[in-house]
Amino acid sequence: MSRGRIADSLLAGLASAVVAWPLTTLFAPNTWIRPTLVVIAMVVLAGVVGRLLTTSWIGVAASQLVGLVLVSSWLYGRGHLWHGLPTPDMVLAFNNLLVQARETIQNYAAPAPTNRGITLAIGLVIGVAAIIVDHLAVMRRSPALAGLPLLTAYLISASNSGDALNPLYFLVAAAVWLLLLGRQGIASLRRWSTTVPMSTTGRAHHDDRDGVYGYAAVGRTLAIGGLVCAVVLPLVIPHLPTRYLIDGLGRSSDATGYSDGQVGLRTTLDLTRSLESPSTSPILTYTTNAPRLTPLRVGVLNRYDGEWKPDPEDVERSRLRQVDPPADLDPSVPRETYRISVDDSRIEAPQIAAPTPVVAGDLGRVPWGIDRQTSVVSVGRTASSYSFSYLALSPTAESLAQPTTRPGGGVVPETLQVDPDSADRVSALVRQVVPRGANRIEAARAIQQYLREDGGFTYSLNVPETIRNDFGQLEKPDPISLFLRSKIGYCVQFATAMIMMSREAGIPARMGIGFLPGTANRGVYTVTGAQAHAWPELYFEGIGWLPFEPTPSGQQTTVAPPYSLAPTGDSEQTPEQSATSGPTGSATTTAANRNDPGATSAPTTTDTGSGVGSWLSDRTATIALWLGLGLLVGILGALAVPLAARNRLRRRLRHAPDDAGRVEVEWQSMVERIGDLGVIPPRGSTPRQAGRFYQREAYLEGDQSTALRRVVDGVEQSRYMRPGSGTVTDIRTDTAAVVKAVAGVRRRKDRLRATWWPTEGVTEWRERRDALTQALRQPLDRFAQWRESRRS
Amino acid sequence: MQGMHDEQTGGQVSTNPHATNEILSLPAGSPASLGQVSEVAARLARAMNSVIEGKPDVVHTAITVLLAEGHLLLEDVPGVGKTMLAKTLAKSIDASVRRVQFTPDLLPSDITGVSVFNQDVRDFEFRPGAIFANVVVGDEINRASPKTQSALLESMEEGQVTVDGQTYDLPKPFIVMATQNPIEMEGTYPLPEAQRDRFMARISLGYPSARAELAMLDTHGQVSPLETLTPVTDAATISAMVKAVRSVFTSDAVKQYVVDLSAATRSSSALRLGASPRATLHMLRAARAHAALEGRDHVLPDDVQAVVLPVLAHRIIPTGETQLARRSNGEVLQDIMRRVPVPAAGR
Repeated sequence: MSRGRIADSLLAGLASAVVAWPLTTLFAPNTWIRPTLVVIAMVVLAGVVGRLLTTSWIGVAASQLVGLVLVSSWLYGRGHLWHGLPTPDMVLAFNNLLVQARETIQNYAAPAPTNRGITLAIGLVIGVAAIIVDHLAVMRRSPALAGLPLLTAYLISASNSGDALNPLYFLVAAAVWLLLLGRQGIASLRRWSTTVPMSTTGRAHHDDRDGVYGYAAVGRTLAIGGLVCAVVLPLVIPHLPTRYLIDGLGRSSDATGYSDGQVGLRTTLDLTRSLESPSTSPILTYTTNAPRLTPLRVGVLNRYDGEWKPDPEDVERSRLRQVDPPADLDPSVPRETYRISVDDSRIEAPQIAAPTPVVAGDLGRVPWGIDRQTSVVSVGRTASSYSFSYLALSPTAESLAQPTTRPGGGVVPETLQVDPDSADRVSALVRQVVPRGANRIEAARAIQQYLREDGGFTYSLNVPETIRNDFGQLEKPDPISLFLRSKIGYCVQFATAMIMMSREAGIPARMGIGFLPGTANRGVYTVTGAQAHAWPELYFEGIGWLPFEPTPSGQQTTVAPPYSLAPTGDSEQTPEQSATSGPTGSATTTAANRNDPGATSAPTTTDTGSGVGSWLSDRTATIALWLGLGLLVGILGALAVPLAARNRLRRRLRHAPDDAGRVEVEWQSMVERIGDLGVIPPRGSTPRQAGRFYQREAYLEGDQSTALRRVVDGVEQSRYMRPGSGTVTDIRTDTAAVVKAVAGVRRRKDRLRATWWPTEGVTEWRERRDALTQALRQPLDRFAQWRESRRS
Repeated sequence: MQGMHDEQTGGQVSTNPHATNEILSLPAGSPASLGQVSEVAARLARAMNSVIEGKPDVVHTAITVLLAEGHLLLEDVPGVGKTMLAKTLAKSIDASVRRVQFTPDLLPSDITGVSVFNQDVRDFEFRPGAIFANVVVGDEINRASPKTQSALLESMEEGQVTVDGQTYDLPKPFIVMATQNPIEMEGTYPLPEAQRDRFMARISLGYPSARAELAMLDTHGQVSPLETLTPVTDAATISAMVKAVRSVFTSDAVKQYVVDLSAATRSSSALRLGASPRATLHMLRAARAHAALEGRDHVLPDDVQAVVLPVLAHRIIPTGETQLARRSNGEVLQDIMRRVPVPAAGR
């Protein structure tokens, strides 16, 4: 076996090892690397030895599989060996390890801890991939195909890391793959003996119409198509969220602390943390008869000391049907009772998503209860399907116009606690924003309006960690001050700021966490992980805790409730009015348009969190996109004719019946190409005369003249000689040389025309058009005939 | 047999002590190789060029016609060397040569031969006429009566002579070189179109260039170069060469081209009469010979183009407009060649 196969095997092994490299981002510590490398080495060795012993691919693959099994036993199955051979109980041991690996993957976000199970799983996966790569790249000599298993192995890392992989991983893997491809290509070329002229392979072309030309043409078409797609598709397709091959692994950060198919909301909120690409996997779906959607609350936070902390529970859970309305709700407050039915909830007990305030619930056999302090609904067991009835309150303006500095009964003192670190800044801001003598609702509205629209805040999932002060020095103030100064943040920052400002203004306030109403699809609303939300709840005596919405619309549309908006005179919100609009269509947007004109015009510019929609809204980007598209269309248009010319030549060469036919095609193509350059011999010229004409017109001499003579000889031989009396030479390179030589003495204008508007290409398009016309006309003609026959 | 000069130069003159050129002889019956064809032809041309100075094209055409088994019509004003050309060709070949001076009283039987009663054997005996030779030079053919012309032309076409119901084959190779004078019309019977058509090619020698004429004065001043000319080849060799020429391959593309050219002369608006099918045939045969002279075993369109003028020019008849426009037949044919595309293979 030649040395080349060993080098190819080594290269294939290297490629497999390189695509395993990005797995380092998924697991820590990286103790799996060494055994995996040993496995790959074993596969390579077994492949080389197998190829030395047999030429059958089955034999080689079998030897590699045996090698894989042996080396895995030695590496991972110690204690289950019999004289170095695996024993039956090793199967059980491996199974246990693989179960362990699965559990690890499902339960941990990246980077997951590396245990023995993980090590085995990686070793086996990469080992099998190495066998496939070796088989395709070395046995089948199709390294291009080997790119597929390599890409698959690479995608395991790319799709599970939950973040963009360092491009280096891809570049190195691609480089090794290209090396493999290049080596194989060179080897293939060397196998074609350079001494075999085309004439002797002519017979083969008969049987194999696609031949060399065909594959090259297909390859070029694919390459151009791929390139165009690679340029165009990312421009027009919005950035797709990261998909997870294995559910669980890599689902990190924002809304979901833990995994196992279930999700839960963090009950501590750290304001300094940026949100990473949020999950779009559904959390729950629901249907409702309510015309106005409310956020679904999961929990409530009262205490803030640099970050939000949960309160201890104070709840008794049982199988309830009916619960009392909140004790502090005045019966005179106008209200509607609506129902919401939730399915496929993946929120883990004791949390549950529910609207507020709940008056009845049906959770089947799941015990549930309402916290006495916070009125948060919680469950004893995870409930995936349930329904609640709740009150939609429409408090009158009079009932909301309460004085600010009167903490009501039943309000825990923490809800008036201002964060001492930012107290100065917050109180100064409140004095600036809230008009003197404003009542409770006026103050709340002013604060919400300030945060939502007037203050110049921007919604972004990426919050800055530091900020420059007036002297240009970097500072790291407390999170609330940071937010109020940088004016960049997401819902947690906005809600926290409103809560602190409200408390400063004398309104009890707390943090509600849960989910936005979600998006509708034929009446079914779907809430995803990305729609996790936090909002302030302000206390009004006789009414209770009312949610507000200081967060401007970012990736998700947020809607301020009607009572939180300043009345605009004629259109006072009444429950009846909103009730007339049924839950049709995309409820969030209708609601936004009707109730909150400000929401749609909310600033959205610096949302760095991916969505192509906001990116497109940027005017310059739009112009760039159109310019890019225009440029692309222009390039494609400019290439249309030259490419058609090339294709035409290729096709005609492919369809030529024999070598003489190919020579004829080459000659005609050369005459046309030189004609494009403006050198056109008289119509009745013989090849010899045409050759003399070219020689004279283009001042050909030396090699060019020799090439021209060879071309003419070749044409004369193929056309006029007794068939089979001589060898027909391939004139391809010579025609190219002649065309080039003629182009060299022509004017630039002629050369441009010959390059971009070749007659061959024009003819090709004309023929295509004619064929299309024909194809279109045929059915019409047939129809006409049919009608004619009917008539007669 | 009055008026007929029977001049036999060939036959046994194969060994000439003064011969500068050795006779290149090939075994009869088998075709010559193309290399031999071109070599012999080159020697023939050299020999003829030494006599006919400054007219290599004309000499080449004459040899082409010889190898293509055609007959040659030499048409030009008096004194430019028509007869000289014919005689030179005849003398260069070691073969039987007869020269017939055509006069109005020449009889057909003078050409074909006649059966005379032999007293000794008490039977009719055939006396072959002037045509029984490899090379026949017919001088001033338009001076003979149409009846006599017809006799010559019929034997030319058929390669045989029938007298009193008896058919006699003419020797091979067989070429008739007829000269005629287009200027002196008094008392002549110009060949009708049908009979001109029998000649494969017509050559006009034209006046020599000043230098050639000067050189001619020098050489012809002392002794006629024709007299020192010795044969360079023999009849058998010519026959073998003719066979070789027949084997020259003609591709479909070239045949198509020949047919296209003929068709173009027929449809040309400048011509009243186009090329006949016989002209097509002659054109192809001449092209074959032309190719063989270049040592090629296949015909190129270039060969066809080279023979179009001599083969077709005397057969076509221009329209009145063409004549008024003073366009020669040659110009019209050049035009047609420029217009008719050369067919590619497989079309």
